[in-house]
Amino acid sequence: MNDQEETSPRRKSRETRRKAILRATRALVIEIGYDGLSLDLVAARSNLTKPTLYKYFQDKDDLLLSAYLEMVDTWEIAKAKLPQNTSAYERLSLMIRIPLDVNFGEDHALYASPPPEILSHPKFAAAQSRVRQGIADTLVAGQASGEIDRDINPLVTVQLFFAITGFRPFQRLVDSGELTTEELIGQLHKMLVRAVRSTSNQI
Amino acid sequence: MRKVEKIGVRERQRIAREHAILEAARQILMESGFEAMTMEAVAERAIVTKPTLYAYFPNKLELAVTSYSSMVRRTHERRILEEANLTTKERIHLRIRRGIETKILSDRLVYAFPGEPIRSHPEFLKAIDMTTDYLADLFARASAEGIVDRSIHPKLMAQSFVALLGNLNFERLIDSEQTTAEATVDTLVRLFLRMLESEPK
Repeated sequence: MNDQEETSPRRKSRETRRKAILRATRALVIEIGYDGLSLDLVAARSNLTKPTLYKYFQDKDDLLLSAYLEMVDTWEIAKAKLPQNTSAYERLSLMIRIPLDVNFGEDHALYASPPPEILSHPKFAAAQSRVRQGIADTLVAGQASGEIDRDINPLVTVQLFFAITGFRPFQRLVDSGELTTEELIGQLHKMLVRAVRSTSNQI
Repeated sequence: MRKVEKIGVRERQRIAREHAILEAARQILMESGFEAMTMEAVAERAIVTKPTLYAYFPNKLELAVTSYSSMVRRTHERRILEEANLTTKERIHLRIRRGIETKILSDRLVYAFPGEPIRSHPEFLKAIDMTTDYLADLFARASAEGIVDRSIHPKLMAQSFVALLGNLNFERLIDSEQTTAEATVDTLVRLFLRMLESEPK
């Protein structure tokens, strides 16, 4: 990775602007929903002109999809930045946070019911697929290195992760005040990551 | 001497008919699922006329919901009796394994876990909540005994199990022979029990 390129002022401001546009988009979606969203509104909110906006995103669908996938992208970038010698276990720990943050984190209302255009978009399916495959691969790598339980089938394990991280009714525990969002995500994360570790006390 | 309330003949007939209808509905639901179920078929199986059936249940959904809900409650009561003499730990192990086995191995029970619109119906949810609350109590007790992780909310543990059973979709994996049904059960039981375990001392 070329460090110079990464931190050049041009790159940085382009990246910052892109992020600002996506942040404005997410805020607007939460306020007025997907249908009410227009590129004019997004431009206004991000203090840009519409022509400038078009430099970053082709159209409304492109914008929405990117806003939706930004969470995944952010984590993929974070994962790529991990030092080479990061253990499979630590990688897994990071990756399991993706669906948890998406489904129960700050912006969960945004992700709760994406419009059908997003759900059926090939990029969306591809992103989901990447996350799953990434987790499966990390499990296998961890099994090879002995950090992760060898007696579990990685594909079955990925299914379990997604069954649990995708269970929106957990939100009721936060809504009723029994747990804070941090506690919910923290406890789910703890349970899931612990489940695959290779040494433990069996109950 | 216990005073037994006299139930009139009429009332007994009503109860008997309702049972027959619910049993007929249960069989048909297990055989072919909610979509395929018709009120006609239920009436025939229960040996009542259609008007009679409609007097008990206004539509297919209400009937199916009541049927599934009573199945859940009956299973729940049966399990409580069966685990009466077991330790907390044994109860947990049994419930987890049983639940997962039923989901994965019983191919005859394809319709044992209903889909929409039954799944979101308030009456069905009430029945599920009842079993989830029981499970949460069990986990709370296990927590106090040091068997499971005290830092995890017992309700979260219980709902995680519901999440697992509600969302398991392993037919594809099993069909494509990337794993067997038995191995899938074993992995899931192992994983779930690990999720709950208390920290090593």
